[in-house]
Amino acid sequence: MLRVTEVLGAPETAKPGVEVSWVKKKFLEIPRDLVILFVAFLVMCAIFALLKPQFLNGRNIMNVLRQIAVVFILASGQTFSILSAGIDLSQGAICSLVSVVSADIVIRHGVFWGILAGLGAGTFCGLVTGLFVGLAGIQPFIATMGMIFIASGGALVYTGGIAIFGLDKPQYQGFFFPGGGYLGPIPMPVVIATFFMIGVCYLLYRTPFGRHVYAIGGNERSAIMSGIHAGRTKLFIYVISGFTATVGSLLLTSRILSGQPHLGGFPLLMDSIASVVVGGTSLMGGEGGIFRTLIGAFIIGFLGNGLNLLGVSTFVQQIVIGLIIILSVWASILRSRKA
Amino acid sequence: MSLPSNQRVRGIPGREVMLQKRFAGVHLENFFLLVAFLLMCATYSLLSPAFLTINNILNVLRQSSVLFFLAAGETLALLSAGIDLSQGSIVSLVSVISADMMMRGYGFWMGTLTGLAVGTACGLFTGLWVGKGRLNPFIATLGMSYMASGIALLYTGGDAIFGLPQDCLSIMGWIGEGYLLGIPIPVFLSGIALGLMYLFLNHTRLGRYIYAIGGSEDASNVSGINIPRTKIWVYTLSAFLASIGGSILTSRCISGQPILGGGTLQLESLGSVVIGGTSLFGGEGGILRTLLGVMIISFGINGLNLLATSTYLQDVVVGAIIIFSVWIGILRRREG
Repeated sequence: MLRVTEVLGAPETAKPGVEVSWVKKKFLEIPRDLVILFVAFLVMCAIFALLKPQFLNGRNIMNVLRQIAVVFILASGQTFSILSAGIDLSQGAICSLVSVVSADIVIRHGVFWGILAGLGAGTFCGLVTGLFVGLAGIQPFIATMGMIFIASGGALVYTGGIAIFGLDKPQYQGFFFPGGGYLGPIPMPVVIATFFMIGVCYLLYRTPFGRHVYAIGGNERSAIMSGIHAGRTKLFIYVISGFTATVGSLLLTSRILSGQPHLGGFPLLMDSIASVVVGGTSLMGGEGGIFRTLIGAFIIGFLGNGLNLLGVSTFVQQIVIGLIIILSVWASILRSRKA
Repeated sequence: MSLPSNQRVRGIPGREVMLQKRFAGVHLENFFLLVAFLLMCATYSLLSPAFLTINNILNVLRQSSVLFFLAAGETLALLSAGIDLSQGSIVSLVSVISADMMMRGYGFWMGTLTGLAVGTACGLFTGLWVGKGRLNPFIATLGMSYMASGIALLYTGGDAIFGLPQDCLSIMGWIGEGYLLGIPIPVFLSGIALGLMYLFLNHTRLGRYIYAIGGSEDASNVSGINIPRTKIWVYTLSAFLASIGGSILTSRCISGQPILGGGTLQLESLGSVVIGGTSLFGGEGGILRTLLGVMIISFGINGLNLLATSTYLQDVVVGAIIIFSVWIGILRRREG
């Protein structure tokens, strides 16, 4: 279902004659559960800060933000597919493929061509899934699951299963900047993620394409009947999702300075899906938005960092993340039942 | 408008006609896939003389039985318009728990039973979330897969459990390698499971309810089917079947591995159900199709192995088979 308040703005709450300031009106438009989620996030941070003062350290926060930036970029593409009642399972595999292709081409032909080849390879994978979903009518789950096998297999075939090293030489210095560099005090991935946030906001809320994504997720049949070209919209959705995975992968590859055929395994994909879902975007499509994904990515990122600082084992963290995914979705189900 | 009621009633196809139509439909759907499977086998046997030997075929069937158990459980979840993503993690959990019980001296059967019980309990837990909590199956089983694999790793501290007692090893060797009436034990077990699943899905009330829920949850609700209870059964059974698969796999590698069900096992389980033609939207498909899907994946990979293609390339092939088989299904339905 299309939540009108989120897409088109809340209905006029003020009585005629009473002036409501623009800021207050915008504030009232924010859905209640998003506020609750934000408060929960702040409470979580406060607890971590009390238990471990290092949590609020400037360096720690910048470091976590750098990690969150990559996950958020992936999740921003995932938001499109989930909003359209689909899903993109191939993001992790695309990351692996892009990592080895870009690393290899950087070494052979230089930084510029390497980045270009990576962008091309990843976006092409997105295009292929998009064609299967949009034109052939294959369910996104299956098309992107097939793409997992194809892209991750392709990454392994490309390098023969071994990692590509040797990007740390001075002539490839430019390659390190996007993933490991700083702009003033701010890590570059965060700067790039900010641009993605603005771009996605524009696409989702200010273009016909964005409205079509919501409409298809809300009810595909009525979307088609009202003249929306569902196939073409889906094609673009998976191209965008593949593109975001590609950029995320380039940032990671640039940071670790090597091409890893296992870079984007299961965990990276799951962080991307979990960010969208924990934020409250519905897997049934049509409900949610990019701000929710942002909060979701922050919760997942800072939660992992806080647990790390507390010395909690990675294995326990896995259990905690599983519980949080289930509980956050359950909470939203309970809320919608009450409403 | 007055209805010519007699004619209307006569116009509705009777039970026999419906059955005939259904049989013909299933026959035709499976027929294409079967032909594709046979063509694939024929090509392999022409290219490699080792393909069509009894030894090779029995070996592939033995390997595929684990996948079949997982896929059988996944069939139930997909038929009810759900999905089970937690099977792989449950396999890992079953492996470490049963191996640990054996190490503590409880013996093979007690250890295996404990493993099966814990695995099935995981399924019951997801079933309760899906059935009673009305959680999306994707989310509930995704959460469970995090938790089960986390617990499996935590349980052993990330290490594998080696050096099981000798009496356990001999039974495990028998299950993993042995024969009963000339048939490998795992194949024997999955044959029994196939028969039981067929009877369960087609001739029991619960089995028909699963189809009904997948076809239309609203309609099943209106006709008085207890949906939460049916869903709890679906995920419990799916986890139970995955646990049996986990026990067989543990026997085959005679150790407890906390990442036994990682890798592509989960995806292959989903893939083989989907290749068989069971719909992700639920209500359509069956266990025989899943069997065919499992055979296609197992023999497909075996043939590529015999032709000495790289393992990595095999992943690419499996992915392409999944996409194309579903695409062909869609094209056929559009024509029909």
